[in-house]
Amino acid sequence: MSARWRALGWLVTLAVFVALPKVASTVTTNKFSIVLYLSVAVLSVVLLTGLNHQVSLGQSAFFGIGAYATAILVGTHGWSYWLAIPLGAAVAFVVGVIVGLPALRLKGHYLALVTLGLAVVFPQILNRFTSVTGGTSGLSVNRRLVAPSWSGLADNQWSYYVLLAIGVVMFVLVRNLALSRIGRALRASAHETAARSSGVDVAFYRVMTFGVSAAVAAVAGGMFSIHNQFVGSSDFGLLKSVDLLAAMVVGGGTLVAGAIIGGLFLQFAPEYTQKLGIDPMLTPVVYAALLLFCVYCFRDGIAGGAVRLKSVITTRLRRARPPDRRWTTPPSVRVTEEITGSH
Amino acid sequence: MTLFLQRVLDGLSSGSTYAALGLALVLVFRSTRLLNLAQGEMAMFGAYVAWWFCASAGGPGWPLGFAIAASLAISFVGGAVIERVLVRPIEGSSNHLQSVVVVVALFVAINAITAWMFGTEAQRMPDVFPVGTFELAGVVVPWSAIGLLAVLAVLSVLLWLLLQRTRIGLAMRSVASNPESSSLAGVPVSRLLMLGWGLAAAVGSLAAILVAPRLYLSTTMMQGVLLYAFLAVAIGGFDSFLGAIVGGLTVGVLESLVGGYVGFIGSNLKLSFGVVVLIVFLLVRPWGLFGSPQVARE
Repeated sequence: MSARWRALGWLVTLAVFVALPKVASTVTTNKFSIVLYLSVAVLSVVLLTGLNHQVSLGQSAFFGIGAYATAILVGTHGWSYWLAIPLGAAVAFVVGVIVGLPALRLKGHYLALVTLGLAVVFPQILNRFTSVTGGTSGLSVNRRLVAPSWSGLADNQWSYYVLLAIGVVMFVLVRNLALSRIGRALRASAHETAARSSGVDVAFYRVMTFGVSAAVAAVAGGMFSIHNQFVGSSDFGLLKSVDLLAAMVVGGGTLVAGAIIGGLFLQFAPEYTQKLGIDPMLTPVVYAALLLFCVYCFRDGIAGGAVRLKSVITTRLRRARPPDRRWTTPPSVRVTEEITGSH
Repeated sequence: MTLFLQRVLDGLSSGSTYAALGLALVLVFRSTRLLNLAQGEMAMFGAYVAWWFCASAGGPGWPLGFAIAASLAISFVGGAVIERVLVRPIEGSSNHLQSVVVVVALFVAINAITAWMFGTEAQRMPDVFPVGTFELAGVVVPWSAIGLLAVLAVLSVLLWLLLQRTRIGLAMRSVASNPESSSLAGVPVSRLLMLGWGLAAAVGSLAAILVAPRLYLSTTMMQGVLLYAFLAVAIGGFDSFLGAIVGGLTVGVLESLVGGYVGFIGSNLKLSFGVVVLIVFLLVRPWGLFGSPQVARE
């Protein structure tokens, strides 16, 4: 895909998201507000798993840290959202670095194990400090964003646009990070020996990615609190992490754009599986089946699959044209062929 | 002092279930080099199966012994099938991302299927050991504690006999130490991996059946137990059976003492404390106390 097409794709996506509240009903707008924060949450998984090849089952906890930090600071202590969300992200960054520390020596399963532990204990920690977090009965925020009069928007539309703005900022930041020198180092870390021999401090990048990804998930959590105005400990369990992982796989972990597909998937897939007559209790089984399917057959998800399909088609088309020997055979081979041919 | 001894005893009795599940984790790790995050859920399913077989309402109402035997048999077959169908395709793959995703998928799928099949209400599991207690030097000893420790001892001896005194055990050890050479020497590696998973599933189900009367049967009952069991094998070494047993009992005693004596941690933060210890152990000594270094650092 050329840079121009990619830019056009981004513009069209953005235009759709901007135009949406003008044409869609309130219900749909609210659904897409959810898509926005879910996309940012999936983005945190793309950064960690898609680019840096580490698995985290603790994204639900980081998401929850952001949501609770925002809810407690804004709802209980009357802070502004714009201070609360960055602070939540900073806390999540620190927790993420601590949880990612074993990555200095170990990888893969061991990190999955530690983060599984985080996901399981996070709701318990919330219930331990009930006076602050509201425990199982949850915590209301009661600070809806109010649309300024100049905008002429309804409050829910305004809140949608605020979430959209935060989402755009997060996507631009992560995209720039992925394309920078740091991003190349992150991707290289998947091939450890090669990365090390090129001077990449693999362990350092692994731990830092853990922290940054946790911070991104926490921003998504802050967006969650803005939209829902309520947090409860049951929203941030292990299943949320698995949802995000499934969404990342469906969206294709190697492309930032896959995060949007993942967000749409998480919001709308359960509706469709229910329409197909699948018991909502079995939705996790559907996600699990998708995960397994992608592992065995379709490794880079829908977005990645589309790119691969395109490259397959274009190579087929190229092959259909008369073969151009000058470009298909490397020079050295051509020379030997010519020599043997002359004999 | 009596209270201290009481807490140590309570710790040993819950520790023996962590050790049993830890043995299952070690069996899987030694055969397929995976940390089976789904082991707890597989075990939970096995406990539900045992419960269903002895339930008079809705189930066939078998005696508990038969129900447990049936559950262990089903678990053994189920574990072997899971290895054959889901783990075999990614066997030997260096991409750990794939294997983690597979066990995570297994985790949520088994959890959801159990809830769907058996309902989400907590169920009362019949007691495996006689109810009642006796007193020894001022410490109240429940029969179940003696039973749990006895089961762990028998299980350990059986595993030891299997691994050290039989041809199959020798083959399993050779596969654990070097799959390629074993395969060249004519050892049916894949079948032994299936056997390892089957055994692990049965041992895990036994652990869940033993722990169920204390915790009640629910779909989340094994998540905490799984983490403690993983902490046990992290302390003991991921490839060491002895480590799993020592680690399991240690974790049980520590859990009981820390939960009892440190007011801030109490019963709510015990598990969080366990996760912190897990992180520290993985950082400082990833191969545990009894494990072999290179193996654990792969």
